[in-house]
Amino acid sequence: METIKTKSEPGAKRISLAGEKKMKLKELAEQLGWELKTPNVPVEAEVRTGYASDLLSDVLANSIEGDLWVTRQTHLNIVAIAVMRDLSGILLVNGAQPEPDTVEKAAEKMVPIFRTPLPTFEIVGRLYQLGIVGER
Amino acid sequence: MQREIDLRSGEKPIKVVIGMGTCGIAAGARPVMAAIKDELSRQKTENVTVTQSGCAGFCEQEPLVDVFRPGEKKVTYGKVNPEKARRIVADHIVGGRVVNEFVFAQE
Amino acid sequence: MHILDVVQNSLAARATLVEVRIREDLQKDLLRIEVKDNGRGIPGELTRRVTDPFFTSRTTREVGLGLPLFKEAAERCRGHLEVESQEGQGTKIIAHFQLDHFDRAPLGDMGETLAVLITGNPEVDFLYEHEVDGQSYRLETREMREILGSVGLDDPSVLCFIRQDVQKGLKKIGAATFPKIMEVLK
Repeated sequence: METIKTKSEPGAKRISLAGEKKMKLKELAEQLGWELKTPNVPVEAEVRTGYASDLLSDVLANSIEGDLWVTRQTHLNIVAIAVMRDLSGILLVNGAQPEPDTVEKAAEKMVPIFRTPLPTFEIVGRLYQLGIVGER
Repeated sequence: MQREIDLRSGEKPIKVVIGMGTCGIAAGARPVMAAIKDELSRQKTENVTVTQSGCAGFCEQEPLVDVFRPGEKKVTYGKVNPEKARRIVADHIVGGRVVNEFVFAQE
Repeated sequence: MHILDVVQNSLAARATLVEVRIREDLQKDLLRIEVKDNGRGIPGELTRRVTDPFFTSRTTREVGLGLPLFKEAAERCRGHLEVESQEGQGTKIIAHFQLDHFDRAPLGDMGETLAVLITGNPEVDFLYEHEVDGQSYRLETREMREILGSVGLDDPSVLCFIRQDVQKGLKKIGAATFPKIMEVLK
């Protein structure tokens, strides 16, 4: 199967291609055993792409709309980034716990935050196996 | 009266040493130290000295906590977090039973 | 994390007084962190090298990754790190950061940091001063000793007190926020 690369500017809407894999956040969370830290936030969003980085300026510059953001940063600023970049959700790795005000603001802004005990490399590998890609 | 005796002798029998080098701090040594001190206070122990040390060279096992009890060999606990720290205080420091599952090295 | 790390250097240099001064200037979008000690200081030529991650010295083994990482953190936020030292007198580390920078690491639980430092080193005097646009909070062990009287700084109740006092004091002056970034979340 050919993979067609679509070069997109950060912030631009990504074109959906036939045959592309997508999964709901809810399904990913179930399959990979994530803990949902924002209980009343809808997790129906479909995910096709992900971005893994712990440098907020990097995520600001290089993420695209709908990305699942994989990070170990737990400060309130991660919610600001998710809102600014229209990310589908945040996955905290290495068992990192989001700070209380982070969870509170995420709930208010409807940003789902998940948590996994696995390290970045491992969880990204598993996401990739499920068809979630990093190409942009 | 007990405190004065302690101050005079300058020595408390049980010593706890927490690694506070850069890697220790990065791995979370600060909340571990806070938890240990808090738990010691809750358990009302008076015969324990808590100090810090620098980098021991086992950075991937940080936070490291050494426990010296009189008559016992030094026990080094690795990858300690506040939860484990409290158990170490309750079970080992106060209760005298080494928490084997958290041990990294023993002399 | 960095502050605790730098203060550990001061303690290893046998300082008896460590002063931590933090200033948040919202107008200039500046965060300034200063750690000053009266320890043994760094010999002249070595001052330049303490921020070199590959610098090791048998005689000054306390120099580790702390300062190189602190310097990197500052530079990542359009800031810089200065090291001033006088052998036999003491050392001053000054770091500047752009306050509202996305990569500027939050200050963290200063209450816990100070509690751990003070109660873990009862023979050392600490001064903590935190200023946000003219309003300050101050914690001084010299004052605390007077108030506590015969109760030592390593008394367990002191840890709790410090933590709470710092948390309350900093909240009151509006410390440790990212004003412009938080606008996004309004």
